[in-house]
Amino acid sequence: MLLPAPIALGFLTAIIVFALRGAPWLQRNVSLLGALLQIVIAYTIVEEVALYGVVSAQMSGWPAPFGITLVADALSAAMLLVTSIAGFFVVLFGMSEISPRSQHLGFHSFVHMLLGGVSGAFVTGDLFNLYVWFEVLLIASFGLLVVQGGRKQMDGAIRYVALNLIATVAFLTGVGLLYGATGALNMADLRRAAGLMSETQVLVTAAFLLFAFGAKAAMFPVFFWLPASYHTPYFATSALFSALLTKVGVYSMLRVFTLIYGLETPFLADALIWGGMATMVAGVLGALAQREIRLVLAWQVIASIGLMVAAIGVGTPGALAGAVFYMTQDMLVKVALFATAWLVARRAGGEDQVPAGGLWLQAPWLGALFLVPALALAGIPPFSGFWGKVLIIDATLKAEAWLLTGVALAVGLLTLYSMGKVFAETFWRARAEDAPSLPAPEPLPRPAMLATLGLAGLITLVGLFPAVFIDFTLLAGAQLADPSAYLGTVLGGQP
Amino acid sequence: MDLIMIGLIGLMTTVSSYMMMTGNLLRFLLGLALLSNAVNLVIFEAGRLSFAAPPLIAVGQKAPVGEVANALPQALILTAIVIGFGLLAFALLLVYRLFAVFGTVEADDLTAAEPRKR
Repeated sequence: MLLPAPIALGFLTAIIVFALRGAPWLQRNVSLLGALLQIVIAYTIVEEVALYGVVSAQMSGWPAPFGITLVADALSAAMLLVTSIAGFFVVLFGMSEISPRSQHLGFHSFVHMLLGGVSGAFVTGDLFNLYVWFEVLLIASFGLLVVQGGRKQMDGAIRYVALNLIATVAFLTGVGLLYGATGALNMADLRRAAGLMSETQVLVTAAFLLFAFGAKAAMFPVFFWLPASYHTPYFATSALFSALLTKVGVYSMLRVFTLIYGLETPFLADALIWGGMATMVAGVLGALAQREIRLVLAWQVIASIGLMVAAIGVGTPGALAGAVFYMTQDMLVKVALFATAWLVARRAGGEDQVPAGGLWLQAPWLGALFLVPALALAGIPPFSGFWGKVLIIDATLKAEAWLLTGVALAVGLLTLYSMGKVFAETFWRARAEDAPSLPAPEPLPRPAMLATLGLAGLITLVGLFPAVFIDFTLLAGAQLADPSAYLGTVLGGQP
Repeated sequence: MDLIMIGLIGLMTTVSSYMMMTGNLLRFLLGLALLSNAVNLVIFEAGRLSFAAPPLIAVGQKAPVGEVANALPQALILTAIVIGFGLLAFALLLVYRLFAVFGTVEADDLTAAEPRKR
């Protein structure tokens, strides 16, 4: 069976690269190979899902709903594939950035543990198991945050650790209460049982889960841990976190609120739409207030999360498909942004020197490379972000959610302004007079160059030929809006 | 019995909330440990309390005889305790490192990641 493979491979690679820490060159390349194999496995799962619809596996042969189910529909498969691609590029890019000491301390092991944990969260069909995967990826992310070990990293880490622990406690409470109300933990079984709950039980459990997933996803008003910690670790870690961790929160919302509760539950859709809009506005305003490049990007992570959450709240198949498309392409855009930001910071002679400007004369191609993910983030064609926004805006128009349409478009415009501001300050503006002069150009490290070029190429490619990706996300949206195939596969015992 | 448990959970949540909001990171972590134990009791309570026998199956039989306790919450709590213990150990060590580096565990005095003045 294929479904446990991404999880197993993640942890196997983590162990192997930890054992190889005496041979740094070999360790890096085995880590890269492991990440490449993840892509192959994830792609095979995508093909199976495209062929058969939903696929599932029962762990240890215990039938659902008693055993733990692993299940992949189009959403899970798409998330697995993009996760593996993001992981691959982060490992490749990390080969340039990570110091030998941090590598020795286990950077690559933590990355693969994180990939394994995230894959587990994407394929599990059991709510308590989802909690366990949350904890697995949390502890791996703790490791990545502190592996550099400076003052700033420690301080950022405690903010991240403390607030994420509160979120997981809330998640566990929600799971416990849901189990108490229904006696079920399997998500497909929970859908059957959720119909029998009283309104109070539905609202209380949904509120706990919404708080937990919202805090994971950095949704308004529980987003403040993200800009407090994402700018402190390695750029590779920032890239990996903003690509994967917040998206696990959004994925859980998509899964739990469509499958278990159904978006017609009172208050739920409204909470998602209003919360999403507030998140978008708060994120983009925060980005406009910042100058440091990684702080701008961290706030932009929040703004993008808001659009996804609001699209889930709209709840039509088209809106759900739009949320899936936007989320998956955004994962690549986020890795590309942080990876390019590292190259820019390196060329500018330090991260604090980036806003001093004057880079266009020295490195115009670097500016062009930065523009690709920056424009994709703002939703400008011909890059991938454009189609995600088109799908979502189209769905909000059809659902007649006019306010959301307006807010999403306005936030898109402000995002363009914010990225333009970064670009103008970093590249176009003449170098500030009190700033130290730019360091002499040195050859850029090849792995980081390959990673940023590859990502920029992918983003452009998805933007130019979006049809196949849109078709797959439309399938995901249809499966989310009508989970009968999911329920039949998990509970009906079909392969 | 249920009322006693609910009262206890409420008390633990109150105490832990107070501790977590004092601004001292060590108290925050102790409060968090208390809170996760309160949540464990929530799961225990959600699985229905009873004075039934332990869920053991005698040798040679395929199902327990008579009324037995619900075994699933115990398995869930055990998992949660193990995970919570690991996370708490990491967090305590992180706070210890913070104290070694900054010489304080007061949250308001930690400003390396988010400087007050620009």
